[in-house]
Amino acid sequence: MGNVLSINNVSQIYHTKQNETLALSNLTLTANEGEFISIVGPSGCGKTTILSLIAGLIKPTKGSVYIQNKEISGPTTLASYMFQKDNLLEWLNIYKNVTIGLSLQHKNTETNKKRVIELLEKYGLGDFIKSYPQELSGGMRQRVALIRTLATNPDILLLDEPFSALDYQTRLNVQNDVFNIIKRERKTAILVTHDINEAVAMSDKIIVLSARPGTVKCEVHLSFSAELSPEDRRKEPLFYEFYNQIWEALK
Amino acid sequence: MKKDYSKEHQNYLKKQKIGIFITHLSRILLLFAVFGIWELVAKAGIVDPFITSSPSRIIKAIEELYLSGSLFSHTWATLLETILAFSISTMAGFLIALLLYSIPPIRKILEPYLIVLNSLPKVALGPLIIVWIGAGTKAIVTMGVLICIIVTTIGILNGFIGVEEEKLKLFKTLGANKLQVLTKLILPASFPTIISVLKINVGLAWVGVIMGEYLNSSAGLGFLIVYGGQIFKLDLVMAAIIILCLLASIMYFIIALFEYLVNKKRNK
Repeated sequence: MGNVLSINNVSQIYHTKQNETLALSNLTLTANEGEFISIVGPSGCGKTTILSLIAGLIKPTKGSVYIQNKEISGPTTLASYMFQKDNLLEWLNIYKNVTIGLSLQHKNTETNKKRVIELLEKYGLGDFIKSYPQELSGGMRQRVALIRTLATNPDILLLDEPFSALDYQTRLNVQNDVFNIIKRERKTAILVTHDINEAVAMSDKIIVLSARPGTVKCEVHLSFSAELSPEDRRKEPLFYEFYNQIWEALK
Repeated sequence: MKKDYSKEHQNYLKKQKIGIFITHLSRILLLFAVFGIWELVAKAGIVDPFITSSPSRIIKAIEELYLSGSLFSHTWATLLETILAFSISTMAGFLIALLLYSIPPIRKILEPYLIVLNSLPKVALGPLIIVWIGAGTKAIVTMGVLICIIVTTIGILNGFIGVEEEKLKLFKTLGANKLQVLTKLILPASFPTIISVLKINVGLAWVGVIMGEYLNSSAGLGFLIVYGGQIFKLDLVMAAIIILCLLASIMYFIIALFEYLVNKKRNK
């Protein structure tokens, strides 16, 4: 298994009129193919900054970011972003929303179209291909957003607190769905969250960041057996052990 | 429609229908009541129809205009000026908004000037326009454009700026270039704003053109209103106002229809 992602010694400074802020300091992080990594840390520790760096939306002040051994120097389609809000375009139907990335990249080939329709059908959205976002529930909309991120077949999925806008019950269900979809499609995912529960339920590895300037405080490998879903994991005694371990590390 | 609704639901639907019917009926009755009472009090001599005019006198005034052959020429003059003012200001305002949006430094530099121009009563420019452009249709259209264009520019620009930051981020990560961001995100996302700006613009274009006609003209509904006022023929003034009302409403409905059609096409 090779490194899909490697972040080497990255520092990030934000400039404002009043001040300059060191958001990240000498951060190093790697992800293997198919790995699900969560990044947790106190608010303002630069979690979202890491995702923006990977997506190439901002350039690191120092250090470098590589995806599949290619250095990232601008917005890249190798990584695909999923936000807290689904950001579906209300004037496009579900199919067009999901394929927006493909049409922007001029990759609307028959194979890709078929793959997207298969994804929609496989994940319970087959009947809603012609529907509009307004007609779907919050959980369904977030699933559509996930399939949109998968449609362009990126190497890495960047998940920026994608469940925090959902109500509790929907959140658990969508976490399950997203976990299963990502595992089945064998995608590498980086999840930013401040919900320890969520991180332990979904990840292979959790990275705890220190307070600003963010740097890796510790890494926790979660040794759940592979067939357990987030729902099953929550029932394991091991779950609470990891939970406490992360909680202690955050303190 | 499904027929297997419960009795309660059928009753509910019935009540809704009756409610809508009553609203429509009341609107029509209100119109007739106002015009009817107006006519009656004028006929009975409670008010002086020479001052207040009356529906029958308005109809007669319109008839006279028609017989003299000037009804359509006056109406057409004003309508043409308004359509011109509306189209020119909409298109120019849209292009300026696009320019200001695409080049933020220019937007920053011009911001205070836009604010000053927006708060300036454009009517004050009337004498300048007449001196610079000369009296007549051109001056009137210019007045209409001046009144509309700043509001159009600011309105559409705000629509563009209002597109959510995250959606722009999403498009960037999906590999969209600048033109794609504009055509696939900014324009469709600000369509509702653009439509509401157009609706305001229709009203403003009429204001501008009538203002322009007040200042200088020898034809048009605004001219008829001023002329009627000067010779104390208030029937003529009222007649011109009624025609204006009708035309302005029709233009508003055309915009609303356009909105409806585009929405229908988008939701296909």
